[in-house]
Amino acid sequence: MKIILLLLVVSLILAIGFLIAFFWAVKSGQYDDDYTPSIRMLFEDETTTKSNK
Amino acid sequence: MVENQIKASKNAIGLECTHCGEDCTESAILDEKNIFCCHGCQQIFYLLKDNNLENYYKIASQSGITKKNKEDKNYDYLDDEEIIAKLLDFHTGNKARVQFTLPDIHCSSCIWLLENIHKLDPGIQHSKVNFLEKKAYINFDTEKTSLKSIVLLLQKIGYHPELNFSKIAEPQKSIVNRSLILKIGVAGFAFGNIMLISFPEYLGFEKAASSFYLGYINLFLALPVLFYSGFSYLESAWYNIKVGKLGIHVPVAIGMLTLFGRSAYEILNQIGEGYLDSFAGFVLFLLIGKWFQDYTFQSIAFDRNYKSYFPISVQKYVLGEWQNVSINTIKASDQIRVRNGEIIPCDGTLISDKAKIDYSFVTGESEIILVSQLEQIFAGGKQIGPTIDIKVTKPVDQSYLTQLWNEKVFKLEDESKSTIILNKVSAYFTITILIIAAITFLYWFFIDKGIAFRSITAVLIVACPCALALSVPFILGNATRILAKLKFYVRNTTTLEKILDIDTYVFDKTGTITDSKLMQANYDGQPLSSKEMQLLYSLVSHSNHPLSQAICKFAQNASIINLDYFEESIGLGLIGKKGADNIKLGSISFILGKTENFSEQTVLLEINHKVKGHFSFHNPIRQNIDKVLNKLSNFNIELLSGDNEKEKARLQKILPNNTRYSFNQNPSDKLKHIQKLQDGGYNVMMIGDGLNDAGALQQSNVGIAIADEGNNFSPGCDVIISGSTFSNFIGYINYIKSLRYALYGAFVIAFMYNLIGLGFAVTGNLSPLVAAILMPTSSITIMIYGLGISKFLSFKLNSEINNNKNDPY
Repeated sequence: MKIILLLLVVSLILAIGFLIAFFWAVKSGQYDDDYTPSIRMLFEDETTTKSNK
Repeated sequence: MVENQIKASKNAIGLECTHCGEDCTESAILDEKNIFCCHGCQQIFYLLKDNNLENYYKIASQSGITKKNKEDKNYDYLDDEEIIAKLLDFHTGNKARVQFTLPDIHCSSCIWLLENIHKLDPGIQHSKVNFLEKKAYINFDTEKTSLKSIVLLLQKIGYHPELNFSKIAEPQKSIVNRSLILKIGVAGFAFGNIMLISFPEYLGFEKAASSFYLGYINLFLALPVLFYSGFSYLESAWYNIKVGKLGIHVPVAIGMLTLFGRSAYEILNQIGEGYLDSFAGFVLFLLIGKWFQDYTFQSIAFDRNYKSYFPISVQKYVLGEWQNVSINTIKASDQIRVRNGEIIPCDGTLISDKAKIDYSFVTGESEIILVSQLEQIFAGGKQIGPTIDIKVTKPVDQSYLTQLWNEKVFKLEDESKSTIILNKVSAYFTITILIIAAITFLYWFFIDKGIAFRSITAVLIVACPCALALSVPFILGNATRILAKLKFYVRNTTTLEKILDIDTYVFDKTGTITDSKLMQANYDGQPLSSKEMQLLYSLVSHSNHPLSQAICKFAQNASIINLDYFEESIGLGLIGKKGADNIKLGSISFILGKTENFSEQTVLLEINHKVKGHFSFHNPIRQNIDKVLNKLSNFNIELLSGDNEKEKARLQKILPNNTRYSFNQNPSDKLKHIQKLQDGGYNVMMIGDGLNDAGALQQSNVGIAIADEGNNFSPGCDVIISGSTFSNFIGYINYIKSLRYALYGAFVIAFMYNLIGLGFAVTGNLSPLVAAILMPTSSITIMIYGLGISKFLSFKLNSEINNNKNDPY
């Protein structure tokens, strides 16, 4: 039983890590626009010019 | 107008503009390989080509935005530091960030071009587009470029930024509700983990002494669900109780607290494992429902007010020179200057000799009003023609037009977003549950006090109106999306519920019953011979004035002859000669030389120095409107018009017999008229357009704005419908009304689940396992039912719309 407890604690810590990552993602605006990125990723990369991002 | 002629003469050969793809058979500009409809398009094409941005045309078809019929605006006010500071999101050192609303964004090419805009202006460091909100966020270096040059660049490539008074007068709200997403995340996190931890116990593994630690972990995970994710439900329930209402949030809160309380009691006393997974799942499903319901159309603004239509700045006469100042600094007796095509921001008197004001913004009528010196000019009008000077009599926020917005109706907050129907049902629901709980408690109290305690909490737990609370979000939320796909944009689900109870339909005449974009000419006077018709037709075909175009249509059966002489006096009339025949067409003052007040809408025809007759103009009735209205004849129909009664006879022919008419209504009359109907116990839907209906739209239970192409008025309305789909109006209304039965169905399903649960509860047999199965099952059933039924009911509407398309009567 003790080993289960240990496993649970480890898994919870991991899960909380994901929760924190989720908070960060939402707060940094990644969920504000769920449409444009899906188009943006389809654009061809250009080799001739350097862009900022 | 030229465009129309080209379209009319369009033949089998179609030439398409390389930039915008519009047909340009007649006005084509040809160079090496490419064809353009205008020089504007040609310029953009080469600008993009020279900067290696030709991909623009490859990513999506129809990418270019035509430059035709678009006037370039004057952005001199963007030199003013004060105005710049208000427009920028932030500005530190030489780094600045600005967001523009660009209504022209329409395809993936737009995203690509706007995000590569730094190639056209090296001062731009980074730009990012939000497609659904039609916004571009641009970071730039203030030393290398300026806000003004960015705006001019955007204008040059066809994206006219929406810069208006509201942009600086009101804080920009973010549309996405981030905190709701976070709450869902927390609830989901807790739900999953508690489920995982509770799982071994459901499978009946032996209980070790240490298994109670699992309970503590669960309790720890459930705390943020109660105090963060679900807290708004508790708050809202508390508020409901304080005002003596039993809204849906009351039983929700009772359920949540009992679930959590009993679980905590069991865990802390080590007598059981509690219902915490049901608790977290309950909150999670509720939040998902809320998220689904709150879906908004990001590119459609329902809350526009006058500030969205006014410019940011205006030229004011200060100490001997004209300066650009922000319009909220304008005071009475200031002198301002308004250029061609600009909106007049405040009431005033005219200083210049003459002005021609287009009030279609305000009244929805396309009539142009002539104003002479010292006469009143009202805010919201648009100057057509040369620059005019105005002496301000009232500042912006006190003008005739904006006073509408100061009426009480605009200050009322929309009643809480929670639903009307659900709150009604939940009052009965809550009372029933409390009675059952009391009876159960009393029954067991005399037999076994332990069971009494367990069963009363069990009753309250299974009575959780989870399924009930999800019915409205999923049925009506999905209906909102379906309707939006069919071009019927509803502000929120509460609007749909209000439509269910509508029994009185009030129509505005201009722009609603009639089509303000079209003009029809009526001729009164001596009959014209075919030769005279020929003369007339040849004369008006030279002119692009809207009234000439209307007369052109009137005389279109005649053939064209070449005139020997033609002259157009802008805004007055036309003169033509053919052989010995003279023809003159124009306003009364133009023909008779009188300068009295006159309506510009009357045009006199003079042939060989004799007045033959006159033309009057009206807007034709919108297509199919008679069919729409006659299907509504079971309800009360009212017609409001700012005009006089002269068109009553014409309207009576098309409108159902029970229609009641009110003419000469000014904006505040309209508002009061709606109020009076509501005081009489009617639920009123107002259908209108234009700013002059804004008050009435806002006051009515449901305000529907008709948006024809090109004008996006949506003042204070709940629904926006496009003029082209208005003939399906009844279909939409019938669909929405059929949702009532879908809701009743959902209530029945929800109660069935509650009954099953109650069966377990009153007998004291509700185990955590039963609760953990029952609650998610009921929620998911309702979700699937809600999505399915709203889709199913829309099939009829869909086929109706398709029929209307195929069969344009």
